[in-house]
Formats: sequence, structure tokens, C-alpha cells
Amino acid sequence: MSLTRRRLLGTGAAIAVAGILGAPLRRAYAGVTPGKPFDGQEVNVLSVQATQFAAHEKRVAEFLELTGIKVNYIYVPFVALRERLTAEMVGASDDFDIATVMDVWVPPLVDNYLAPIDSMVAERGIDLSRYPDPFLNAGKFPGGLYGLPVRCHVQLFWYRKDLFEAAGINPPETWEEVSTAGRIIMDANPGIDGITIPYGQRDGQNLMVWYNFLWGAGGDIFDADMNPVFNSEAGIKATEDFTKYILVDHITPAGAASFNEADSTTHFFQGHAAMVPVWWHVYNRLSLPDTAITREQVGFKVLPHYEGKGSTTYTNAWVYGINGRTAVRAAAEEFLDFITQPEVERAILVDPNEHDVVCVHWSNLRDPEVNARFDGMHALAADALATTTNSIPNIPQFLPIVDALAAAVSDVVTGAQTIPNALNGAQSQAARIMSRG
Amino acid sequence: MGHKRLAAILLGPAFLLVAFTTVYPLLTSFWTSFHEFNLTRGIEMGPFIGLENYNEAFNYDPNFWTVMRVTAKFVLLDVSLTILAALGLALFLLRAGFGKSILRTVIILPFAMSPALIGISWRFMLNPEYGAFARSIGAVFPFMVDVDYFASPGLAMAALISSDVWHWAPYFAFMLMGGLSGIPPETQEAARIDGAGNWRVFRDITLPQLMPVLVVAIILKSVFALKVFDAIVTMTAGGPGRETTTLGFFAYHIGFRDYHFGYAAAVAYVLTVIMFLLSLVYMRIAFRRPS
Repeated sequence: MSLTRRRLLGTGAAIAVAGILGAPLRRAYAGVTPGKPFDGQEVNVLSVQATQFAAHEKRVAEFLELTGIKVNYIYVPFVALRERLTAEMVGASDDFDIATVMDVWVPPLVDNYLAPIDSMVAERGIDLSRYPDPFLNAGKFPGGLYGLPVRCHVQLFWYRKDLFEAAGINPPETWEEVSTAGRIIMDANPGIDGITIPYGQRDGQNLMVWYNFLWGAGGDIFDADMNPVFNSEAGIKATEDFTKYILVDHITPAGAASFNEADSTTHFFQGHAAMVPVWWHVYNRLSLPDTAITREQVGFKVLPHYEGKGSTTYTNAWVYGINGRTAVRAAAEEFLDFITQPEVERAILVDPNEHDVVCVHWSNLRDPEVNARFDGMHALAADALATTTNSIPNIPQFLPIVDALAAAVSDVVTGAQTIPNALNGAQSQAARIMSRG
Repeated sequence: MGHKRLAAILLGPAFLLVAFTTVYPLLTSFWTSFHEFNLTRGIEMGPFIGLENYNEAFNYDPNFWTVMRVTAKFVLLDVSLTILAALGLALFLLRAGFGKSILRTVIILPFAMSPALIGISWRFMLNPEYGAFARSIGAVFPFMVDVDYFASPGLAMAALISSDVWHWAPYFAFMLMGGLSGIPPETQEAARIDGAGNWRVFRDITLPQLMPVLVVAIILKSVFALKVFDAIVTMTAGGPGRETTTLGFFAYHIGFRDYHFGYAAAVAYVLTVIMFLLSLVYMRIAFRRPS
């Protein structure tokens, strides 16, 4: 078939007509359908208490003006949210149309509470490549996509710049160098611990840093056939290295074996430790009036890694999902599309009145203005995300497996079991959990 | 209206209330324990699987027997120490002279506190970095400086038991004070006239007469110890490892953390049976007819 001038003009005209006919689908404002088709509807959002969601709530008035949809945020503290979601699921409730859900809580809610949003993503042309995979994976299941990333955390390595400068050493690049640096700093600064890590098992928090050792050493939780393999040679090596700081080097705080994440972070920001691997959201603590150390004293970088390997980060990801029983699905989709726009996130990040650092879009992670405000932290996080290929599995059985693993690592730290015994025991429990389905 | 009919009408509402709030949940959870019910697979109860959940507990889940051992250890030590402390307190308070009523008021205060709050407070106070208890113990016993109480199975259990004894001893002290007050002083005086010393009077005269109250206190405290929950959640979270995970906390974890409702119901029923047997003994002692 030859391409004649007439055919070319005809095709051009057809495209123009299609464009005009399709005009109502185009949005005047990102994520908002023109013409207020859902005017008068009401959407209830079940949200964890966080400054980011408070910032989202501030956009609700603007959204009402644009769409006529009234949005109500109902906040539940983090410690009570899981039980609340369980109650909503078991009660087959439609009280909430949208819910914020943390990654490991998502699998049990899939189809029991959360509905797939693939059709919405397709119809609204949401480009999922705007999200880093570790964030997007939190909502991805064989049955489809069940949530859009909204509040995701990246681990960074925070260190006392002043102490490292005084000691004349650079912050560690590898996990091995952490031992040496910790000892040098402790010897030069009595009363200050080398590194603080949450080794306590509460809610599996002792695994948050351990995952990076496991992945860095070449291990993983499961093999390709979903057999638990964390007791492999790499798993044993990773656990040896992870527990070396507390059991061999003695560069951790006295209470580290029972520290949770908050204890560990507080210890650092009280000025009692030289290093802490923790989420990026602790950046805000540097501006709190009661923090013992100043912003100038603290530096951050990607997590240390194994020699010759890239840095990794275990991520904590929250998604906005839609309740399958909602009576206002279209209005809920409209709000979800609006509130998860990269522009909305960017506006919060660069707003001097807002202090939340959370960012889930590649464009904002690399944004010069965002990075200028937060000392380049987001670009560093983007680097860590780019080299992180592993993530925790999205399977319903993972919750009891986390429990078994956390108890095993705790047993190692407290000396109750050797590393092979503890990991083998947890592996056999995990295998049984998987076989029961 | 006949006497029986009036009794039925008067008792009816109470019976319905108990049936609705106690009997119905008990029967439902018992039925659940024979089913596959995993919330991660669906919110409807799964198929009937007979004794499979009990089989899982007794024959396959290594944690179950660890938890049974921990529960037995906790109940045994906790009940013994609470009753001993309560008995000591009761004897002391009965004899205390000046400021007796103020002392009694102050001593009952720990019982007025929420167990969850006690757990959080003790966790802070035993923190090796800044905890008041940990610092005080370290000052007296230098080898205890920088000891992480929640990182050692023995010390974590000791901390949990100590907080529970601190919480419950005043309550049982008052209970035993009632029992001690009911003992006729003539029996003790007669023994003293016969030349018995204080210990002999206590062992051979006071204790046997206090025994009915003491047994009731032991059984009640055993039931309370078996269902300990708040302090574990807030103080140790069941760790280190599973070394402070008792049966009640284990059942909660399986049900509300792992979503295995069927298995959680079976584990909870093991606990229910133990508590039921203890309650039977308690009822027989508390309501037996005088011979």
C-alpha cells in the first residue's frame, strides 16, 4: 500500500476528529475529570497519622472546588491501624472508600478488602514507570495492582560528620568498614557508641537492616520456586556480619539487643552514637528543638554494602488502595488519581510550611529544587533504589514467616541459639507455613 | 404468678445476657477451632478439618511447646512469688502501727494502675542507658551495669514476673488480710502459752486456718497469670525469641497478626480448658458446704 497525499491528509483528519471527540477525556487539571461528573459524592479515607496525610488533607478543599467531591480523612494511629483494617475487612465494611495500607499488610487485604485498580490505571493513563519498582511492588499481585504508592521510606546511613572529621576518617563504604570506624570513634569519644541498630524483635524490626545484609551477601528469603532459602551460606554469612557489631565488636549501645527502631534513632539523635542506618524521614528530627545534635553535625549517605556490590535499601511502602465494597468507586478513583499526582507530591516537598520528606516519584526524587531543600537526600535515595533489585515477597504467608525470622535473629543476638540452628529452625517453620498455604 | 415462673422471668434477662456475651462466643470459637479459617484466603470460614488445628499445635508447631513451657514457668513463679509477697505484706500490714491507714492506701496504688502502663513504665525503667531501676541495680551490683534486661531470656522473664508481682501483690495482700482477721486470736494465744514460738504459731496454727483463703487466692492468681497479656505486649513483645510468649499472647499473635483464626481458636481453647479446670477447683473450694 503506497502512502499518497490524499491518504496522509485523510489520516491526519481522522486523528484530528478523534482528538476532538476524545476531548472530554482530557483533563484540565492533572487527575481531574472536567465537568464535575461526580459532584455531590463523598469519599472517606482511612489514613494513618502522618504529616504527609495531613498535607494531603489540606488539598481536599481544592479538590472539592475542582470536582464537587467531598473528601473526609479519618486518622488512626499506626499502632491501631492494622487491627482497624482487619476489623473493616472481617466486617465487610464500606465505611471507607480509600485506605492507606502498609506493604506487609496488603496481601491479606487483597480481594478481601482492596480491589484491583488496573482498569483505573489504564483508563486514566497513569504511567506506572513514574514509580521505583520497590515502591510499586507493594501493591502488585498476580491478580493485578491493588494500590498506588504514596508513603514510602528509603533507608539511609546517618553518621556524625563532626566525629568522623575529628577522627580523620571517612564514613564507611562497606559493612566491614563500619566495625573499624565504630571502634575508632568509640576509642576517641568515651560514652559514644559506634553504631546503633534495632536488634529487638518487636514487629520484626530487627530484620529491617538484616535484609540489606542478606541481599548484599547474595542471599534472599525465597528461591525462584518460593522455597525459603534464607538459611543458605549467604544467609549465614549475612547474619554473622549483621550480628558482629553487637556480639563481637561491641560497638553498639548496651540496650541494642532489645532496641526497636525508635529507640535506636533516638539514641543517635540524643548524640549517643556515631552511626545509624534508618529511614530517611528522620531528617525532620534534625530541626526539632529538643534534638541534641545539629544539622551541621550530621551527614548521610547510602547504606554501606559488601565489597564489590552495590548499596541496597529495604523499603517500607504504603499504598492508597480502594475498598472493593465502596459505593462511590468512580469518585474514589478521581481522588486517588488527583492525590497521587507527582505535582501534588512536589508541591508538598517544596512548600516551606511542610516538613515531610516522603517522595515516591522518580521525577521528584531527582528534582533539583527538592534536592536543594533536603541537602540532596532524595537523589541519594534514588541511587539506592536504582541498585536495589530485591524486595520482600508479596505473599500472605510472609507475616508468620517474618515472625519466625525475627525470633530467630533475636535468639542469635541474645546468644540463645547459634546462627545455623536459629536460621534452620526458622527455615523449617517457614517451609511448613508455605506448605500449609 | 407462680414462684418458678417469677424466678424464670427475673433470671431470664441475665441468662440471655450471659448466653449472648459468653456462651455464644465460646461455642463459636470452639466450632472455629475445627475449621480452616485463614483471613488471608478469605473472610468466610473455610472447610471443616476436624482436629487438624489441634494436631498442628501438639505435633507440628515447635513454638507451641516452647510457649507451653514458658507459660508453665511464668504461672508457677508468678503465682508463688505473688502469694508469698502478699502474705508477707498482709502480716506486715496487720501489725503495722502508726500510719497504718496511709500505708494501706499507698500499698494498694500499684493495683490501681493499668497493666499496659505498668509494662511501658517498667520497660523504660529497666533500660540500661537511662532506666531508674537499671541504674539503681547497677549502682548496688556493679556487674549488672549495662545489662540489657530484655535481651536475656531469664532476665526478661524476671522483669515480667516482677512487674506482675508488684501489680497484684497488694490485691492479694488485702484478700489474705481478710482471711487472717477471721482467725480467732485465742488459738494463737493458746499455742504461745504452750510455748510455741512465732514461726511455729504461724506454721501450725495460722497457716492451716488461712488455707481456704490461700487456696482460693492461688487459684485466682493462676487464672490471672494464665491470661496475662498487656504487660507482655508493652514490655517484652514475647521476646527475646519466644522466651516470654505465653499461651494467651501466642493465640493473639496467630489470630490477629498472622490471621490464622482457626489455629488461633484451637490454641485459645487449650488455654480455655486449663482455665476451666482451675475455675472448677476454685468453685468447689469457694462454694463448698461446711462439713
